Amino acid sequence: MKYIYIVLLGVVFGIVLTKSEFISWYRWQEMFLMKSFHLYGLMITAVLFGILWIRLIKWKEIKDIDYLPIEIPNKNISFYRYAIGGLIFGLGWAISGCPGVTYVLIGHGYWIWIVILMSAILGTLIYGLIRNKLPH
Amino acid sequence: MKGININEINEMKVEEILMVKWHWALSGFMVSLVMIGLILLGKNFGLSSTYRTFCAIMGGGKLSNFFLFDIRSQLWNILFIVGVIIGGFIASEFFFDMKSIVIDKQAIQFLKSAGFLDHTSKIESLLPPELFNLNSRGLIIICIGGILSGFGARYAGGCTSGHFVSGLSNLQLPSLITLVFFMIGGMITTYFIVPIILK
Repeated sequence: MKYIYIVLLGVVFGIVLTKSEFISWYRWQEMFLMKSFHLYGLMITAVLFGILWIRLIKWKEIKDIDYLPIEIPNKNISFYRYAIGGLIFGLGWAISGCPGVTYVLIGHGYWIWIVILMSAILGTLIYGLIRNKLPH
Repeated sequence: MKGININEINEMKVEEILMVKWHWALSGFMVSLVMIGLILLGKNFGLSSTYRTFCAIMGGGKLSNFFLFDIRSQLWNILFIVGVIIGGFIASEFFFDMKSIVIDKQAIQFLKSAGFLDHTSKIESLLPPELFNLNSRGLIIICIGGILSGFGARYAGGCTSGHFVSGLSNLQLPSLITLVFFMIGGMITTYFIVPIILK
């Protein structure tokens, strides 16, 4: 049953990313050119509500579906990996989108995004191979 | 956009309600619900992790211990992206009109001078056909973009969903740092790379 909910949440997310126009290449350009508030507004709203929900969960000590306490892992403190990794991700995002967008566009039937998915998996593989040599 | 009164909503089919253009605040609210839904199911929202899982499934563990982990613990995320793909399909088939996307005029002007939107100033597609086609040059550029986003997401420990939405919602300083650099990276590409890729 839990897995059905997970798939359903995925379906909702696919629809939301479409209706939000987050999957439009032109919207990304407009965002990075800072000519429109649309995607910024979307992300700010998501984060503000997200903060509210997470505070609520922590405050009320809400349990998850299996009655286990909810633990949200903290990110490790560091600078280099977030700065360099973030920069590289951003460079790619403005051309080839982010992971969520990739899956949604495959759903839309843009088969060329399967090639982009493969290249992103290749990028992840490269990271796995050279990560010990990178500053973290 | 014209306002909708309650009587009209009663007469509208679900499909028509979904056909209406969404305000960004509604979209943002819905994204937060998806994130918190996964948390209530005992999972964490983050899509770039699936790339790592695919590497592991394809035997990446032989190349790097980074890909040695219990694949079963990540299968839920594969189910999630199956849902995302289905959601994309449903939305595109039944209630999405890409012609309704309105892009800022100055942004269009910028893209036109870069050689995009050659014959029209109307956006009638989600992606520029000049770039997203199988001719070798376009394909090479988008593959480089894909490699960078896959590499960068894992290096930074998350992508837009993991850092931006999940991380910031949990008030994580690393996510704020990452986000700033996401934006810098994106702006570098848009301002300096996009104008030359079709030249």
